[in-house]
Amino acid sequence: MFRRSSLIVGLVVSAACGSMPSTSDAGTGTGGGTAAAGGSAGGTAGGTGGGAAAPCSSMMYAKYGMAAFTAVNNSIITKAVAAPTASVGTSFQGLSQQQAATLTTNLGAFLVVAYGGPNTYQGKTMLAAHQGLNITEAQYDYFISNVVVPALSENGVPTADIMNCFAPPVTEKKAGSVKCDTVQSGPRPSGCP
Amino acid sequence: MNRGRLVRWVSRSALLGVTAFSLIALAHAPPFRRLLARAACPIGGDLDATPAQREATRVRGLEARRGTSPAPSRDVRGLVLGITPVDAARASLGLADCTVDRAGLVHECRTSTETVFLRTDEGSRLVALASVRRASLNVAPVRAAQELASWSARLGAPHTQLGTFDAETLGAGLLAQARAEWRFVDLVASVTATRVDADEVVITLEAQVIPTTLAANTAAGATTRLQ
Repeated sequence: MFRRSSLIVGLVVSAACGSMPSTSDAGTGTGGGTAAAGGSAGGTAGGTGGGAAAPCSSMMYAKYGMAAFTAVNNSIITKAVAAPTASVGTSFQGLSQQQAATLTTNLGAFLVVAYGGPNTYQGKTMLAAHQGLNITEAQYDYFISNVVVPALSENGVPTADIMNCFAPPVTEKKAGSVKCDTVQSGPRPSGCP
Repeated sequence: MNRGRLVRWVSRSALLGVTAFSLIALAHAPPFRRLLARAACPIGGDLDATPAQREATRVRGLEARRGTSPAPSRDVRGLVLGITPVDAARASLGLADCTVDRAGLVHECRTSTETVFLRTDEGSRLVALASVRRASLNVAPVRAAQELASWSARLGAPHTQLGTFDAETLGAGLLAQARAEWRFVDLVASVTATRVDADEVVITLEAQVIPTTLAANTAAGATTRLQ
């Protein structure tokens, strides 16, 4: 009787609480990295639009290095904290120090692997990490426009690299892409399954 | 399985279900949410911060963008940031299709042309307004330039501007962006146009008050939050 009830409680709690990005999810994280890094395997530069991934995406880590990625990551966090939008703003503002540290680590590791660096990402897949956050396409668009692009440009990344190399992984729209997996509320972005 | 065993099995299962539900509900009660956070449950840490702490964190996040002179106006679309109650703002703007985030601080409202975010402080006063809308690459430069002119008329020339709001800039490639920003001691505002697709541009408008007294009063409380 006790073992059965423990099992049921455990299963339900796991199901209810399974959406928090956590370093304890080691082993499931490669999906998130793969979603973005995989998108950089081919395609043309961003000038043609349409979200085609550019080969240079996977060379950004080698070009800029860890210090630059850390600086951009910190800028993203700082800007996201001040965002007036739901999820991007208030969820970031409500994090405990431990959760904030986990998020910073996971986001930084994700950026590194998405742009060709070593894969140390141990967070969840993009799909799992954003479950329950109710992120809409408008929130995603705000995040890219007012958080990501300014963070890159303010840290000295040239416009050409933003457009040709950093853009594809975050604008791509197909099954498993960052945008399609992140936007889980409201109308589906056109192009996402 | 005879009828007696079936009845016992069903009643035990029902009892287990009720017990499990009760335990989970109890675990999500405010006193136990810190434990939930340790167990990596999203309910745990997220709701732990009070609205005042979240507001203090927002203000601290804006510090790097704070200017030195006071804004000539805090009016945005007929609303006064820092004063207008959010319900009055929604009524004034005719925003009916809205959802409120879990923290109860952001109203995300959709119209046929844009999504409007109304951010409130712990007193339900409007402290930030952001608008996100899409336009085709053909018309976006014109609309963005109109917004730039409108905001410049009220706030003066932007303190920083990257790129120009024209077809050449936005047509250059994905994430090509033009951005204008105003930085006052009590207000930050921006207009951005960012190409996000082959033929679409996202235009964002943002205005946020930076209440200096709030920053001073709540800085101590904020130190336990996101650093």
